[in-house]
Amino acid sequence: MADNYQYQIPPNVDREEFMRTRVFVERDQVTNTTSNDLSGTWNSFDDRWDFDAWKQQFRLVINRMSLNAVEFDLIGVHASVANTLRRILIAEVPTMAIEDVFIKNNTSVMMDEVLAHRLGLIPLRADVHKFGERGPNDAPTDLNTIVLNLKVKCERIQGTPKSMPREQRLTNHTVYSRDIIWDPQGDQATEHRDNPIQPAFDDIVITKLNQGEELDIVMHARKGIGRDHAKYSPVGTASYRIMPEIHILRPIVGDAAHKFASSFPAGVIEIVKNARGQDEAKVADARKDTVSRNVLRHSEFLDAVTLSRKRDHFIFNVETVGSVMPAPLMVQAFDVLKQKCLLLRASLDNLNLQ
Amino acid sequence: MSAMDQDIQENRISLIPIDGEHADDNTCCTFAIQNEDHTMGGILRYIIGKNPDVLFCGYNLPHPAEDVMHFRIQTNGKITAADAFRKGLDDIVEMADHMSAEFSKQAHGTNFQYVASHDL
Repeated sequence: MADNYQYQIPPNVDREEFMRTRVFVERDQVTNTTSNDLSGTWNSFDDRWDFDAWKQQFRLVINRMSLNAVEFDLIGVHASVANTLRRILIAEVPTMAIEDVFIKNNTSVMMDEVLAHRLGLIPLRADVHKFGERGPNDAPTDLNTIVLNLKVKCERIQGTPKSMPREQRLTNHTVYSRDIIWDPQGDQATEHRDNPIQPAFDDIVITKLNQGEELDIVMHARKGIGRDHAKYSPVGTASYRIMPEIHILRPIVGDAAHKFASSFPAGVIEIVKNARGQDEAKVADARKDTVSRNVLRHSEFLDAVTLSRKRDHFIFNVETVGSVMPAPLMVQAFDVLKQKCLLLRASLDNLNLQ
Repeated sequence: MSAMDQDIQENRISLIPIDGEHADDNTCCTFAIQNEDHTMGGILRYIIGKNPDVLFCGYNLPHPAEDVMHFRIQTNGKITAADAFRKGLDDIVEMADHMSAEFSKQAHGTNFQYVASHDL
């Protein structure tokens, strides 16, 4: 490896601003990653917390939304804020999930505890705000518990020969999540009339039965958070990446331009005709780049391009499990952050310090 | 389920006394916060560090088996450490409120693409 590689800050930008706001993506390492936001670090830049100044430059842009996922940009916040939001989405937003499984009869080949574990992982669609927490010593009430029943028996369809495949010979050969029936207690029937409680998906396979086997199970669902058990986590995953940037330092023309464009994922670099009629490489959409630094493997491009990432631009991708829709989930996540702060505030006041 | 217990007694803050040169008074102290981890520690460290009167702020989790976070704040004397902590918490609440309002505003707008199924 030639050792004359030097990371170059692009000549047409303000050097101090570039150092303050970008992460340097070099050939063999990623540098300038440490946090430099504490008040008083920079000579020419006042870094103290100012809500109004922050509010001016903060932007939240939703890119795509679907029934079970949302992709949005959080611009103008520090990495710790984005990380806290991500951790809250994964571990601290409450949902309902099956916690107690009372097995009255299970003659299937699946062991009781394995079956109970699977039932706990089924996402339930229920309005969490209407339920309270149930501590280990609390009695179950209609305000903290959902009762669900699963009663399935597999039987042979009369008159079918044994040579036929299982699916045609037996009824209820597979137990699906749609077989779980909600048993409304107390006021639950009227409270949840608009949003009946049910598993988020109908076609989750719970177990399979053979002729004569049956399941007779009562389940209690409770409110919990992902920190306690992963079954309560409302997201399949929530992740973010930091916005990549590509600066081309010198014109790249002709065949080199095509090689340059093919070193990046499709859509990142486009080829345009420049003033002299040659093919020239231009940055089309840096957002599509996966920052594999593939281009820096080629020695002819080491001095032609500067890769960086913008420190305060986060591209969030949140995929829900089905129990909560993505838009209410995000609102809940911000609310959980606020509630945690208010709780700490109350605890601090309890300390009675000056 | 103590992680979720809303009772204030559970989510308690106490003080860890530190001897030596930087003896504790009301401008330097270490708070021991139960039931919290990097989720709150990271954002608190950032916001309280942005306070120009705070000379030092940092956090650590002494042991993974204990659900406790130690958060230390040292100020320059103009404000007390507890005040810096309170201001930090208020700042986070203000920021969370604004982000939530902005998200709701965007979600009810039409600037984005609604897709049937989301291929990541």
